[in-house]
Amino acid sequence: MNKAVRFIIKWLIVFFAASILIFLLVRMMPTTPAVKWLDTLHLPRTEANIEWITHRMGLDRPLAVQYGIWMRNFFRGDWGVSLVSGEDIRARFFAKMPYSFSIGISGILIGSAAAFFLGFRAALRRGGICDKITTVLTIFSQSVPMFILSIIIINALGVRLRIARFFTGDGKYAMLAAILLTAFYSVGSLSRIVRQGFREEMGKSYVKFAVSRGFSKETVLFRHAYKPVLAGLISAVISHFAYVFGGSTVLEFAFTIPGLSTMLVSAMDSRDYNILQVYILVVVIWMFFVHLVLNLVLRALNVRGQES
Amino acid sequence: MKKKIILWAVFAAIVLFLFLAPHQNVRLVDIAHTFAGPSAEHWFGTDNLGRDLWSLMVVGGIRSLGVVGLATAISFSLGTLLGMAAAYEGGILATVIQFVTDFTMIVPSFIVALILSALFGFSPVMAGLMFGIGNMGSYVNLSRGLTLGMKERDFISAEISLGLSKPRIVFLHIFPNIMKQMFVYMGNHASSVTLQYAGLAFIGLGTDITNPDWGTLLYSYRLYMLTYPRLVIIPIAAVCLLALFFHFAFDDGSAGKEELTIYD
Repeated sequence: MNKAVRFIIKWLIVFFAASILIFLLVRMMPTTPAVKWLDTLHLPRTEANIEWITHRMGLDRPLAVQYGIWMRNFFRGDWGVSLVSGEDIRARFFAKMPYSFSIGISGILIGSAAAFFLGFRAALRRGGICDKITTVLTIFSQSVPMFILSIIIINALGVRLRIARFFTGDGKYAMLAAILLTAFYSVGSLSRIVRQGFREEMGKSYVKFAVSRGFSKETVLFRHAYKPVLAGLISAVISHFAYVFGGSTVLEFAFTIPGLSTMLVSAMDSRDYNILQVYILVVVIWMFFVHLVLNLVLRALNVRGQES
Repeated sequence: MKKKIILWAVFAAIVLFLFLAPHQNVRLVDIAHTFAGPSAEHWFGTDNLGRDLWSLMVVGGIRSLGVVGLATAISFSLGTLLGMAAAYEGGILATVIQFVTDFTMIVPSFIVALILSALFGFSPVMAGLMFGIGNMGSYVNLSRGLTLGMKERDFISAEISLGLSKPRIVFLHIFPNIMKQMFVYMGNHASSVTLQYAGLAFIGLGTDITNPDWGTLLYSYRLYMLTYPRLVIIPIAAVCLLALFFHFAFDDGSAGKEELTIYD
């Protein structure tokens, strides 16, 4: 079967599997949105009240009907309204998506660029300073939680030195810090992968040949051996993206960035089914584009690699 | 090799010590002696509620190790098994396994954890299960790749033509050959579960300060990080030691003596 067709079919299945899963999961949560809604307005949880609000939220219809309506409206571009505030969900998501997505993309881009150069230097000098830095970074990012480092940064730069204002102003410092932290936490493990890739290339005969012809060792490695290494790095980044999404939840919380995750946590609190459902679909669609672009890049790299 | 035996012995001793060590009741609150410095009575001092930090570390250590152990055991065993099955069998089974793997890697485990914790509460067992399955994907991919490489080797095709049974080839001949790399990967990633757990606590889920673990301690002491850094540094040091232990205990012995190239 054609690779592109397979790719699309796989993602369609992922999309519908995720939508059904989240649709059922939210409805399995012990407290219903109707009860939560009554609680926030300090109304008694009488049966009549619950029945009325459940009906108004449209949650008393059969599950299949609810799912059908939700899906149909989603594809028409109507993502529904928040069960709590009645706001249009799509407008809310579009206002918040830039924050979360740009933290993810910029963080990963900066992180993998840094990892590539650091890994390159680490491979060149075995046991050298760069080699040690990559190991230390890997262990550091596995033992010091992101939120601890965030608090230290906020205190040092925002409170003591007063260089950056994280919670007032237009929030550009908060975004910058979140992006750099995402990058910082990605560098360690990614640079080890780059290092490993270069080490493997070093032993290959084309590299030996080029070096013995008198090209400088660095040039040979950097100009001619980068493709397989880059391909390895990109495959690692693909699987790293889901993790970044989780990490940005913590960062958005720490720096009070009005991104998707802060909305998710509050929606979780009020059991806002509609927001929770749309959130998962948006994540899946976002991941689809990430995988699509990175797979295309990977393909482009491979083709050129075979030609040369 | 000798180094590793010592390392494992030290680890075993510490775990044993965690179970046997004398510690106070961690629910004992002593408001008169909050933030006391380290002393003979309180080895690591006391926290904001006057609880003995040493006891909290001991009790929390058992829980943390439990979560890490359970999560890693699940991702390692299930991941390796599924990866080997997908690579060896191929066909429809491989497609299904690949799909499940991709699914766990696409939907961020952090978010699944958020939703499931609202559903079932957030016990260490739950966390272990969740992170175990959530992190399984990369184990599957690694073991599948390694097994595919193994399958092309001559000794495997020889065994197939000799008529050895499938489980025998897979478990007795392929697994020992890919085991080393799987363990290295595991060693490098095992301890990150503690931090994922702590991260969930940070955004307000799974916190149960009466039943502490190292992640929750980090979360509950974040307020005192600047005034009493000791409270945060000690749990971080513990997680760091755990990470280092995993890193070196499963480190491939040959990693230090990798093949020399013309660059060295």
